[in-house]
Amino acid sequence: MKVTFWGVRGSYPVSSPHCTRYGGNTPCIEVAAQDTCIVIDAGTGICSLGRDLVERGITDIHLLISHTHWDHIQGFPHFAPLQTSGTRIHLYSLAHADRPLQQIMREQQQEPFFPVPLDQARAELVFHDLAEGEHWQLGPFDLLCKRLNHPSYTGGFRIESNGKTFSYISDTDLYGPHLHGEGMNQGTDAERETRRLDLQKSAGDLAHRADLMICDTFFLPEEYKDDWGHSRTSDALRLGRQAEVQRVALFHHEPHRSDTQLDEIVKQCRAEAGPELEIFAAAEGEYREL
Amino acid sequence: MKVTLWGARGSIAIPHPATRHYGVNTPCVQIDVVGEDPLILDAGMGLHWLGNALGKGIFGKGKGRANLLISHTQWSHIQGIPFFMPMLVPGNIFTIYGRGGASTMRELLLAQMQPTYCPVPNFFSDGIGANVAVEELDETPLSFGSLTVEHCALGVSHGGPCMAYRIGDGQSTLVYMPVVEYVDTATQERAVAFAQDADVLIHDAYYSDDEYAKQRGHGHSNPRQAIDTALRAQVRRLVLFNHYAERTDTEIDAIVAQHANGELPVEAAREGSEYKI
Repeated sequence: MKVTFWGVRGSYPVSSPHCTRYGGNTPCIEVAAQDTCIVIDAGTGICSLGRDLVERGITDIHLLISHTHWDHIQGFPHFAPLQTSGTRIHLYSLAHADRPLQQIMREQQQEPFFPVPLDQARAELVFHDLAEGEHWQLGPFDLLCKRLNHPSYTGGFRIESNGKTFSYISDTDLYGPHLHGEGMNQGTDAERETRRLDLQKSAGDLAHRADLMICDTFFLPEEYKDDWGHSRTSDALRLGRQAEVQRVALFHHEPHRSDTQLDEIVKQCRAEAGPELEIFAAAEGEYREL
Repeated sequence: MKVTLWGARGSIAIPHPATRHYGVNTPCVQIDVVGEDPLILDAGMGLHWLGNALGKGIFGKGKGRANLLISHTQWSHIQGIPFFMPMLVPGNIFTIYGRGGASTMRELLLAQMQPTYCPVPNFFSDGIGANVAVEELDETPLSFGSLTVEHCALGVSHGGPCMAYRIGDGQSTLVYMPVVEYVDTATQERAVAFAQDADVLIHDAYYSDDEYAKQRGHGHSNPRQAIDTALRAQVRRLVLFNHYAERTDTEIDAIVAQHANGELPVEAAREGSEYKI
């Protein structure tokens, strides 16, 4: 499978001379094998991908939404296949308790916030609200979705094909002391602690022996805020080692992080990780073949 | 007054090497009068960067006060609010003015802050961050310090009223029309009257002259229409604004060059530009 980075920046898009190499678009990843096209997240990176998919004549698109914070869905109204007849877009996300994905996406495009309502899309849209731990198949891919530790409802994905595994674990506080997701803080202290450890195990399941793991590294260890729901570079390395991952892509870069800073972070992470774990920082426009 | 452009792009910020000169941040304009609170026009992604600049001064210490005028509530004109760091600092005081339409402006701005979409704490609530109030515009003009603000709904577009603002300091005048379509001659007559004798007119030019014919009814105008309004209103300086998201720097330069020898020279809004009026 081929994994292409179309957007790697967290929180909001950034155009600056200091981040030209790693790129400033918000999250969007393309995973392709044979004729099956999977897209993960619809940050602003999906705008360029959309034009590319239309040019390539791709008419069946499976869009996995990790969660519905602005930086992961804001590009969708501008996704060219949405207005391309004969296209079918499947959208998947971990089910929210309060409303279906379809409603969440529709609200983003309603007046007076956006001029073209979702109902006017030329593409056929099929929405899938995923259960925790749901497995499903798309062409050559086996997929798994598990909940992560981030505000609202956030899922991570494990995608396997032809003996290779890709994991997408973005927007989560992997090893922090608090629970961040909607409803997670219910119950006794003991129940919460069990839940916190279960979430760590879920991330481990998603990452287990992955050939490539994309991981939230919004924070450096010294910047860490325990109430945000994001991870540190050191957390990604810890998960990578524990889950026997082969390669880790640092991802969801802090918006103000410059190219030079990211170069330095990669260097430090490589020194810390040793030879067993390959580290790089996800950069817009790059791809990896697994 | 000093006018600073923090965002000049329409629709959505899509960072790309070909659009870096004019910038990709969505609309936000800062107006400063020495010794007075900043006045901010629209709250697109440019607002985030303005917030970082303000945060270096009294807004970082919770002693700042500013007023925001929203033209309309398309995402591109409000999406910077959750990322405007001075609103997270207790002690700062903000008032946001606009006209909501079917829902109130406050309801619309709160919708953006829902936890389903927004990771940032809702600082519109009491007890979180700055004191943020939202005021619905009626027909009364506003004044802030030495500035007077007239406003005018130039039609309904994208499901809500689109406000234009005319800001004067007693000597000079800025008119801000970030989103307008001349659906009929009456609308343009009103725009001309509203912009009359402005020193600077910031005007929607989302579409190119050629594109407009195919995009009629989508709520925007083109450079030719902006020039026509500016000439008829005897405006001294015209700034084309709200550029289409993927319009490259080269294409914007070409648009400016095409109109360079006309009766009124035009310029294209560029992020970071300052105008002393």
